[in-house]
Amino acid sequence: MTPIAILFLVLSIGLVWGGLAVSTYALIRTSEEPDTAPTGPSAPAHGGPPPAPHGRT
Amino acid sequence: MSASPSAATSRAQPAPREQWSGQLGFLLAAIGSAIGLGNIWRFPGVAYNNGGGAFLIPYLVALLTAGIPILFLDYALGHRYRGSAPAVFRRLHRSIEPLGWFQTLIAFVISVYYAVIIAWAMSYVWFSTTRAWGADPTAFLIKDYLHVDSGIGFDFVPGVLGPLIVVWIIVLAILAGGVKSGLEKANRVFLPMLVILFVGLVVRALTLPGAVAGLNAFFTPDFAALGNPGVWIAAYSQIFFSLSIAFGIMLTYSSYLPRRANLGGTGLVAAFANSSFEILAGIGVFATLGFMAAQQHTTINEIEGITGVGLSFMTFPAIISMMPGGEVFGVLFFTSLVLAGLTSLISLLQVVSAAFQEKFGLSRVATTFTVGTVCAVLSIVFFSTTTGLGLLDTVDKYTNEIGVVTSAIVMCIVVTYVLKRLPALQRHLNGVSSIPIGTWWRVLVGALVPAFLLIMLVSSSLTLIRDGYDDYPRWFTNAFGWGTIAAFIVGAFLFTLIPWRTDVDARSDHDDEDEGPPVHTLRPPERLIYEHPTEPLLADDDPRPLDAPREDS
Repeated sequence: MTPIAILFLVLSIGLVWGGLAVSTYALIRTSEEPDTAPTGPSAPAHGGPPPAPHGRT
Repeated sequence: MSASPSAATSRAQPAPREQWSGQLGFLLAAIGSAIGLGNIWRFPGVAYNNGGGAFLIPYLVALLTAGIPILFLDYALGHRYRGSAPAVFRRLHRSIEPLGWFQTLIAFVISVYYAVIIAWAMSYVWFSTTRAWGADPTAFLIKDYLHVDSGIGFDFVPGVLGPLIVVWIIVLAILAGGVKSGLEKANRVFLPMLVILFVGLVVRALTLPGAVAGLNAFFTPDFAALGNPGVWIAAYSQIFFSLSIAFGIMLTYSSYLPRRANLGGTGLVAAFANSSFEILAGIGVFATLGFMAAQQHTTINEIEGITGVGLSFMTFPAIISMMPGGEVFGVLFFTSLVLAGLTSLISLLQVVSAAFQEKFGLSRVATTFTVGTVCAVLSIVFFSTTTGLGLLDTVDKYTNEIGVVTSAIVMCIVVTYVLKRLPALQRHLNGVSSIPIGTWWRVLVGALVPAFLLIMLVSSSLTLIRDGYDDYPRWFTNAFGWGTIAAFIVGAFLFTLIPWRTDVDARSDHDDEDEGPPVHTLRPPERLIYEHPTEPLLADDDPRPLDAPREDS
């Protein structure tokens, strides 16, 4: 293969499949976080939008 | 007009909404829907004709600026308003229910002809075992198999009927099983099978003589193409049609998600999985085309039929005939087409089935068989005829390039400017996503995407009006191309006029079923209940930043 074709083959695979790998990893990681809101003195009493299922509010 | 609110008391409460068993089930179904025939037979040719490796640049830009934002919009609408497309748009505002029916009718028409292509692919799995097409695959397809040799006519082609019936039996059996036992289980089986078979096909393709020349042709960039607006339109079109967005599929699928689901995270995975499969298909298809060019002592750019029906049912059979062990390669290729098609077809039909089930208050099985039978009869009557190929080509062209694009533009404009619901949907996405959905999303959905789609729509419409489509007679494209679009519009308003048999406007007692035990919530228990859109979760005129943490409201 020509160097430029190899470069774009690698770029395609790296960007698209890399995007899939990173987004899958992020999804799995957030899914493993406990599905509960923080408790204790630092936790807000109530209010806000629906509790984020993966740790983000 | 639709039934008045006072009639609501006499209407049935909807049954508890079905749900995916979890995020993985939804994700596989969403990926299965997105990966369809277009990934295998459209993307490689489009990329090659529009700059080769350089096409990656507009393609990724289109994915990030249009594909993913509209995917998020579909997800947000379905998940927030929890219904079929007509129910979701009616809950947004009564006057835009026709948009939901417009999307449903698009899915209906695509289902009707999509099944026919899967039936062809199913026949070709069998033909591959004996290389039944002989020395001239084109003549075999046109004359022997489809009988497209006597101009326009609607004579019946019995060879397509058998596989078409098999396709509809499989699809209806899956849909009758429901979301969890039907759709989800089918995708859990079909999608991994598709990936395994297709990877096997690509590995074989890469070992063929001439494969390197094919990859060179596919990946060598033509940077001059980036200055051509047509290349950018092609990239946006490819992303748009490939992701199954703006005609009800992702909206319907996300309505079956539990309240606690990661919309942003699953959306990104589904979008990148779809594109990853397209790149894989590009590698496989062009390695195979490189082999063909080597066998014929020619170059890739002299090969005809590198997209669509031509690629799959003319060029590939020719290649299979040249290849040692071509029978196995043919079975792998056509089985991949069947699987990719089936996972997309069930998602299309679910859009239609869900809409009619909710509108008429029917049971799932009754709706599935009623809708399925109508689709099956239409696909047999119209597409298993001697004009089936031309009819399919024409209806597909107008439905996608005019119907789907119009649907997306209207959806963006209505949600953004007429109903001003984009801030509320952004808050909803942020409430259930692991990635922050910032102002960028509203800018893209409200401005960039509709502007770009409008350019695409005007460009396509002018070309079709001025030149017609392909070599088909004007009366034919007017009747079956523009006629299909007119039928979408008329049908959308007619279905809106029929009263709902379920209480679509009332807050459902079942909407909070998926909330789970009220442990450690950040808000009072009553806020856990699904609020009807007339009582937005947070006021649209709330001056605080949309992604700012809120203690109360």
